[in-house]
Amino acid sequence: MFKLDDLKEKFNNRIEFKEKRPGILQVYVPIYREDGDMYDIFIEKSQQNGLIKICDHGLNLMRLSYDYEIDTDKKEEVFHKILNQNQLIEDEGNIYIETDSENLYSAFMQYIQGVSKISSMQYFKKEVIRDMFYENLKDYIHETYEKYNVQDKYYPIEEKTEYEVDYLFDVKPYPVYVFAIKENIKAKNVAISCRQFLLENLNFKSVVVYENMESISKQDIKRVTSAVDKQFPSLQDFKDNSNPYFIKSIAA
Amino acid sequence: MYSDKEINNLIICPKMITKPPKKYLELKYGHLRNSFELSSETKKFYCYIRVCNDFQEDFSIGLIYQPNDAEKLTLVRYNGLHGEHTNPDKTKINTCHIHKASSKCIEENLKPEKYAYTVTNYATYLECLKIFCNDINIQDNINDYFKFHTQLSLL
Repeated sequence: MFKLDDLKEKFNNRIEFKEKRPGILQVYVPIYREDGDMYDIFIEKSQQNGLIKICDHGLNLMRLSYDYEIDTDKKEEVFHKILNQNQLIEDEGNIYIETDSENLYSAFMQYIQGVSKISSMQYFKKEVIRDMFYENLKDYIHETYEKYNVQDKYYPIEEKTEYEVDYLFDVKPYPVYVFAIKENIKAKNVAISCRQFLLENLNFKSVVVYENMESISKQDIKRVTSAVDKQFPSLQDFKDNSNPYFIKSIAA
Repeated sequence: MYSDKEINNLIICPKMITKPPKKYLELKYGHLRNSFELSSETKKFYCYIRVCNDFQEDFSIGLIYQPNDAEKLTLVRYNGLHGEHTNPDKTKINTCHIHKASSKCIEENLKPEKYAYTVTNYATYLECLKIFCNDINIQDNINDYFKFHTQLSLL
């Protein structure tokens, strides 16, 4: 049905083709997912143009859906970006690429590369959220606490700009300095800055919001704890609990 | 970190359905799907059902443990025929199989359910679902939720 000798040769004969349905060959190639299952790859003749169609009959998105859903505009955008960058097409869940027999090997490898990226989308979730932590905190602070005269990037000691505050709440009786932390190095810097502000006899209240407090080393948490007034272990905790805290501390 | 005993206990602890499955499988992205939620005392679980629409011998039914304070864990996944599976010890499986979380895979930072073993007691999605519900110890009458006598295409 297809000239597959070239593909066999390039895979050093470590590839097999078994008939799944009439006209559909399942490819057995030693490329596995993290769970040990082989990638689902099928080769068939395209009904539209007679080219060779490398496809998955929806199985990659089925597998992805075990613990990840493409259910937001952002996820759709990432999904289609991966498809486009790898010249793949999706039709009702079936991810495919079409090629002629001359270019079968390169198309095959491109296909595997693309579907492996799609299969890894579950990991993007955490990375995207992590990357967007500072942005999300900034949006939340400006949307929720503009009444406290929020100022980004504030330097309490004018001549020492190495000691930086992420957000100033310019309120009475004391200003509130809000810091965002998602890495150990930032935790160290926040602790050092707050200690310096205390040495300069500045009056202020300090608040830290972690992306994920559990990801910060114990030593750095100790440093921050001894230097600041209030810590929120996550952005969600800040969203849930910061309003009553600010009402109480700003009114005090 | 889970021991194998803890994993087994999570799989076999008596469970009640807290959010029932839909009456019919829904078609999305080329596969048929359904899901339901379970609880056992204070523990929460999620089950998913997936069936490839083009190759209905290729299906997956999984049980996920959802702790409040840690990442979710796939405890078991029952697979139909999808092609080859290779275990961490390089043994190969080409039949229906069950993936099961193990402390060894967790310790070695592998996918927790990477290890799988061959089974011969089901061949179809509905047979598998019945066995799965029994194995994970669902206390409800599952016949109230699933039409085991019905053809898949009618679900």
